[in-house]
Amino acid sequence: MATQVQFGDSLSYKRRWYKSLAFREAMWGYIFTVPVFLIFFIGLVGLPILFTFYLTFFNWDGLSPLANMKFIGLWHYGRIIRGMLNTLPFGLFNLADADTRAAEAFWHAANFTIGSLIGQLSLGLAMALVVHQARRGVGFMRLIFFMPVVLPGVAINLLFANVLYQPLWGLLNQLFAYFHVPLSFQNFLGGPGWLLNPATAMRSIITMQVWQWAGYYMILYLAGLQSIPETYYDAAKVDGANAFQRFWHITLPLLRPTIALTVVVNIIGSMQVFTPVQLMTQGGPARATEVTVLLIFNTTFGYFKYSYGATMAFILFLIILTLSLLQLRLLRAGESIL
Amino acid sequence: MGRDEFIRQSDSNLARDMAKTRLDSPALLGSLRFRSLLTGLFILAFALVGTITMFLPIFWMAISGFKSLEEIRAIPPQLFPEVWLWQNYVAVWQVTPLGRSFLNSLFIGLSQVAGVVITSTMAGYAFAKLRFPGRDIMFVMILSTLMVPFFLQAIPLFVIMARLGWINTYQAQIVPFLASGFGIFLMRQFMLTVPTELIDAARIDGCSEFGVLWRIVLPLVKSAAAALSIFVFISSWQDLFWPLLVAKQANYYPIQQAIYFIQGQYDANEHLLMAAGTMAILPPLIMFIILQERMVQGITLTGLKG
Repeated sequence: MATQVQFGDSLSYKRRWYKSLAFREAMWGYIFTVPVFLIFFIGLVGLPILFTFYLTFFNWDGLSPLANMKFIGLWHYGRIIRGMLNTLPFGLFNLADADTRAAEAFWHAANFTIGSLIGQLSLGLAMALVVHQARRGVGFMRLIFFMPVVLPGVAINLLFANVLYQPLWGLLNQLFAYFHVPLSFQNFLGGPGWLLNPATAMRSIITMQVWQWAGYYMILYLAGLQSIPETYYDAAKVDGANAFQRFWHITLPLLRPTIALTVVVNIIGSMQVFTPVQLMTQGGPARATEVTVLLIFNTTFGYFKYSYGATMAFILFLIILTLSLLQLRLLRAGESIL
Repeated sequence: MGRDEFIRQSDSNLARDMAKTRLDSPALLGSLRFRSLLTGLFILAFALVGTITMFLPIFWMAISGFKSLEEIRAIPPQLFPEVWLWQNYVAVWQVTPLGRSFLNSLFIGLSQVAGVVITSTMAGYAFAKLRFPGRDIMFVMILSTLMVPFFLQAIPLFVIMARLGWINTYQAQIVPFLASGFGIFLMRQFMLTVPTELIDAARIDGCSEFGVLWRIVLPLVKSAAAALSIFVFISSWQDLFWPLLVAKQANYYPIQQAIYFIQGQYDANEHLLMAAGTMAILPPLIMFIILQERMVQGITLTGLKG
């Protein structure tokens, strides 16, 4: 106690401002955060985003000097939005100077998102429920179902695109024929034409994606399930609730926060799908799987339409942002009702 | 347990009787046992089907890497090759420097892990435990970058890399990923749980701020740092978008791009493609077998990012 008074307080000598504890704390705070913040979050994220936004109002090929960029206002936006209106069902609109290709890419990304969202989350939940019920082999099942997640996506895509999905001699079609799997189920998964049929190509990519990633969602749901106290189920059993009622009235409401977050995370990720499409179909056949990020990649770095690519990127960002904010709002509203 | 607890907690005789009749009557007991048997069988069937579904494709890839082209395309399918063709692997190795790609991936992944862990620990500590003007606004701005998809920054980032002359370098694949908003958020959340008294005690004992971070705080948030490392390392080999842009020479390919390149080179040579794919999944698979529990825990901790 005595030493503290002697050295720590201002009794013995006059303190200077830069020796004060508050200043030292703030100084270390800035040393730890400001360089990281300025270099990585302003320099490599913030400014690039502002530049992307700035580009959307110009015409730039990525090569000519920035000073020569031509200002074109909202022309890019107009083309894409008119294209989106034109691709609405029933031919409601038929506007001139519309980029239907970009609009279709958005719909393809949405298609992929809906498919993989429903597939991954429902399968992941089903797997989690079964694994949670098991008395033995929980660790084993968890590992087996989770394994594909850690493998490089490209190798998995390579395998499905070149061997499993091959229509003539591919393993899946041969297994389906051997076990007499009904054609409707084959169609549901994307067979028997798989990636070669424009009508089923996207579904095949979704099937592969679900195979690889369902285990990831299983792990997350399993963590959620384990946090639900067992006594709730015992009480419900004593009250005579059957298995479905227990699931509907206990499991689902208590898993709600986990489900909400996985839905948002999945939408954000799936709308940006690139790697599987680039490796398996490169947008084909007949552009049936051309998703937005692939089109952004090709438009920008293939055709050197940097500003047009930037516009698509910005619109996709706005769509993702709206969807995830809406989703969070909806789920939060549901929570308060319950 | 459920029954005992129920009985203990309830004070009415009626409830006690109900619990007794529901759970102890012989007919019901039989049906419960029958039910749990059914459940067990269902779980077993599920585990079996699941295991086959998860393993078969990977097993098929591994086995196909040793087959000849005719054996891969055989109708009906042929399980094992007549002769195990090890030369498939040699052929793949010759078209692109695959060993170099493995090392590239390892180097890029580990550099990203080191960068993210260092920047996230430092910034996370400052945001959790130090007070300074502008702290909260900075943290909110960093958090908001979590909503930004990579493709939105990719175009200007590529222009920056090109102007710096960083195309075909390692820097281009490492530097943009040395800090992560998610990492900072994760570390901050964990450091909030470290008692401030502990930090103050160390400071009074004359420990510098770096010392506090290194000796006191870091050991307490080790599990979060490990989870973050695994997360960063796995995501470093999942992305193809950025390597396709900045690595144009085979020498700088990470493994995922080498695989993409091989697919272009060996179109319709499925046996060689499968050999390449098998090699690409082998190191991650071995890593997974060694670290399995830790990786699952890591994903549970970091899972909410995706």
